[in-house]
Amino acid sequence: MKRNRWLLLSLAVGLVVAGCVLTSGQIRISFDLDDFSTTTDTGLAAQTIDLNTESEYKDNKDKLKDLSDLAVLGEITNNLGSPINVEIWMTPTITNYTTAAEVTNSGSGAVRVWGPFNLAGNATKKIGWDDSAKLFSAAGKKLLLDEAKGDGQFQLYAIAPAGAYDFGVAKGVLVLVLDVGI
Amino acid sequence: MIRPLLVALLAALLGATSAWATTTPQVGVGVFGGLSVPVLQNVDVSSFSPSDAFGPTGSQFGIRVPVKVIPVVTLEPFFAKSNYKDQEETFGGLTYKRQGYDGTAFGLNAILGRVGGSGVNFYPYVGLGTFKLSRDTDEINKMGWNFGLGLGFSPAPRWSIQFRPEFNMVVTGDTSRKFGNATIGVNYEIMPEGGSHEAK
Repeated sequence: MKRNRWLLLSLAVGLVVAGCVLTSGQIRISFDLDDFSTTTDTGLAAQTIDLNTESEYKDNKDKLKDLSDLAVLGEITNNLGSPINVEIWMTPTITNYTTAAEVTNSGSGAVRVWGPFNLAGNATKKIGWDDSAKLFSAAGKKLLLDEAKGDGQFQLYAIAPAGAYDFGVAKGVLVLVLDVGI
Repeated sequence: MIRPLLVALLAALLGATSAWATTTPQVGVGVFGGLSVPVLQNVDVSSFSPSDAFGPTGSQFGIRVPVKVIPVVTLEPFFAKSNYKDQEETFGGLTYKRQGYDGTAFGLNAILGRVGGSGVNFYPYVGLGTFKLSRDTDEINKMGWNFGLGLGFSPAPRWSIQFRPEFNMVVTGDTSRKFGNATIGVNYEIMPEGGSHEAK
């Protein structure tokens, strides 16, 4: 009987040591993006993201450990007859680039976080969650995590870098699933 | 984080083996199946209700081989497969599906007591194993833990029915993926208590 007590005590100690792993979870935070349309002529579609505007993020920021899942969702419409490849680029600070060339310039500090999302001419497509998750680059995920752990403010640009483009995004949402300690 | 738990498990086993006796080995084999539910994964904290803590219910099945060679503790290698349903969520008025994981696990449970035998018996257990969770977009391949309380009863010699509610935790760095499992299984004693190969 005494032996059984030691056995249970040893296991209890193990559980207590593992407490921080035990008291954790994955929480989902979503940010609605403004509807926009952009063309080669009118310039860039940009959106400033401030994660601090979401109380769920602010409440859990200090417990944030990792980024376990993420997606850009919404409906994209290609208004031209030729296919396009939509990409989302990100700068870790608030910037105001006005052309796609400025964003993709190696000195811009911007990183392609998502894409390319291929869309046929004159087509509208809902971006699936699984499809979207696949399109995040490793560098983009790291930058997003750094920003989520940092000041929470960054800039997103939507572009279709090759050739002329004219597309719009409706009901856009940025979804982040964060690993947090509880 | 794994190391202290390993030490604890080893300490428990060493404690149990300190009174190593000339016990005749008991060996069984069992199959099981049941439900597995993700816990605290992909939780929307903006409109949280307690039911949101649980993801779409999945299924689990597998095989276990309980081996009792020392008093007090039964060691039980296990292999399990699990499958989790897709999760549906609505954002901006549009409904999206996120693919659920497929899981594979193998490891070793340390059971306080015995699995087979006559009558009804309860047994707490802890297990350590390697757990692989995969879907098209990502894969988690980490060590993990099982904690559970089993209930077994024997309707016929050598045969027993096993019911196990279990908590499973796959350690991912400083956090973990957690699952609640409830399985029912059948165990057959190849080498029953007492060392006899005949039915008791």
